[in-house]
Amino acid sequence: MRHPLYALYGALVLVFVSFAQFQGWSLTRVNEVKNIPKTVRDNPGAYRSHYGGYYRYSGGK
Amino acid sequence: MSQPAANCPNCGAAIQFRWSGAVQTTCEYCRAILVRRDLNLEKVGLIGDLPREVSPIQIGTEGVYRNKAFQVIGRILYEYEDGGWNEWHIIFNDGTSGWLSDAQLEYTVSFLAKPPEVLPPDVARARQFLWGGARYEVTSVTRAHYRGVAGELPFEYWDKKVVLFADLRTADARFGTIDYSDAAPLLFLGEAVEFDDLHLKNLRELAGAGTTPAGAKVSSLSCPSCGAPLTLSAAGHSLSVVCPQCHSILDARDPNLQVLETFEAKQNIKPIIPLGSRGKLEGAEFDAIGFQVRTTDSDDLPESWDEYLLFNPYKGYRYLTVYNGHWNYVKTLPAVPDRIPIGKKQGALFMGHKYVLYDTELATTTYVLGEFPWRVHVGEKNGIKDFIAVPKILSSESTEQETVWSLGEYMTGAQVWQAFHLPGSPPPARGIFANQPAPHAGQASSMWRVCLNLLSAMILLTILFYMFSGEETVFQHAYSFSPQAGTEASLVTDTFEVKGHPANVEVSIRTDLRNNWAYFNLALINEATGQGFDFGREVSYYTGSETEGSPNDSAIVPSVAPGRYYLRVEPEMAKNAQSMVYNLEIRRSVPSSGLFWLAAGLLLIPPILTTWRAASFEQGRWAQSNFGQRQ
Repeated sequence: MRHPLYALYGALVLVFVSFAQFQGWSLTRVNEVKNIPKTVRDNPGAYRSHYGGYYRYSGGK
Repeated sequence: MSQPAANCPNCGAAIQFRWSGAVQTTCEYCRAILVRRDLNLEKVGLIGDLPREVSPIQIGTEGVYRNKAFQVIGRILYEYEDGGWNEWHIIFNDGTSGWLSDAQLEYTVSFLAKPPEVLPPDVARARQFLWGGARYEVTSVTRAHYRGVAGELPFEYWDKKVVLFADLRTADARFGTIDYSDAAPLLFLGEAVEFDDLHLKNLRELAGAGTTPAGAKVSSLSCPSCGAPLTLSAAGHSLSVVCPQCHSILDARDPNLQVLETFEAKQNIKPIIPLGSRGKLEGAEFDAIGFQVRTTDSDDLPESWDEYLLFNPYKGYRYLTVYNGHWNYVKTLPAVPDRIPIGKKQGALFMGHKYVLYDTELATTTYVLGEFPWRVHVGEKNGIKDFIAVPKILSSESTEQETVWSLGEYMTGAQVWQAFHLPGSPPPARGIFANQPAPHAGQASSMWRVCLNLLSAMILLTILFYMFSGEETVFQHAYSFSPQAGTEASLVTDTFEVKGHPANVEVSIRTDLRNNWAYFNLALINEATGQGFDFGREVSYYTGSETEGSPNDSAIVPSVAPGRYYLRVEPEMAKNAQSMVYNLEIRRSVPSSGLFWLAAGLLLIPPILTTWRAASFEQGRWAQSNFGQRQ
């Protein structure tokens, strides 16, 4: 093969993408929160989401 | 083949004929020219004094042409203003005969041919003939002086004086001569041949490259003008020699070295390859014997380049040119390439290869040193056209008298330094030269082929992942939400099991929204550890004359460890909106096309970069052409 370095690079990319696919890696990120109290199950309204208080601009509609 | 024998009528020495068809021969002992008259030999003259022998060929030399062995049995020597040449009479082992011409160590083999048309009584340079499908062009018309004969000839030839010859060449190195030495012109057709291809044996021993040590003075003289010592490495071939001290250009054929002209030089230029150096190129040794600087006639920015004349007493002359550290190894061509259009550009066709016109310029010789096989002249102007097919350059140099074609091949300074064993390292090449090979030439296309293979492998991997990903629905439930109800909007789902290895989890939302929107605050929470993944999704769908958005959406939560999870959901809508029904579906190990698009992008970067670099190089190459960008 005329481009062994490129072929090696390509093989590494394919191995990486296969591993990432298997592990469920994603290009999108979500906010990870630790130690959410178990009381959320009983009182879901007590949890304050990072994305709460959504305001949708509707001007012009 | 019979070999008749007789005795010389002049001295009685035995005359042995090598060829039964010989009409004329010479006596090796008394130098008598003998002509066969029936069964007798008649002396018709004596061989005069011949000039210094410089041809490696001699009577008795053997060789091979087109797989047929031949032997040299006779010779006619001609001289003209700029030199001389030999017509060697050769006989093949099948009894046929032909002519091996040696003109300044450029060789042709030709045979007497029946003219396809009546030959004109005279011709001029550039006249063309179409014979046997080939375009023969008259490249030179030479008025030569018959100088002498030796050995066996197929006709009587001893009383000539001035003879007119027209040499013709084709694009594929075929050769022709119209010989006006008889009342009716004769046509000889053949081809140019390389010295090595003739496999010659029994050659004359000559001094020079390939025979004597480098630096050995073949012929030592002194300048008649200033007394400086001079060396002639190609004595017998050289017509001019330049005194390095007083810049006198001397007649190398004159025993007294008559001064032809003296040129003014602002400074003495020291050739980077010292004259007298010996180098090995294409497997043969060559001596650097001449040096000249040539300058373009440009008012804006005249540019100069150096040319070295190389000499081997058997193989003839070669040239090394250098401009800004870019070298070319050049050989003159025994051909007239065809001019052809290549796209919108002009081009030339030589031996099946197309060359694109790159540059035209008028060049003036501005400095000379060493010796030359032509009448060198400072101030001489040549119209030059360069055609390129990287790494080769095909050039034509024209004066009013002639056009000479040459073919060069790019060399690096390091290759020249190695060939001539020069000390130190060569000056670095600056800029991009016309026929310089691109550093990434050919790499882009081969890299794209590797890329195609890698992309194919990636597509195969993608298909395999979609087929065997182990995608599994771990939760599904339908809910409803009414913003007007005023009750707590948030809820949690039942817990569900996420099994196996860490994998992504896709949360899909399908709603019955129509001309409305909803926002979902979502949190995927591990029941045991309290670890959560917090994210939000807006779903909006408007339809009418145009459609916008979608009633469905999904989100990927990456690398979710196995365990028991539940989903906290908090929908939001406009306070006066109608209620909606929505369905939540949670699946694990969902193939993600985004990763494969990322991989495709990473795989494409190297070939795109290589292609870009190659294109940039070509752009740089043509930016220096006076024909601008390649079209």
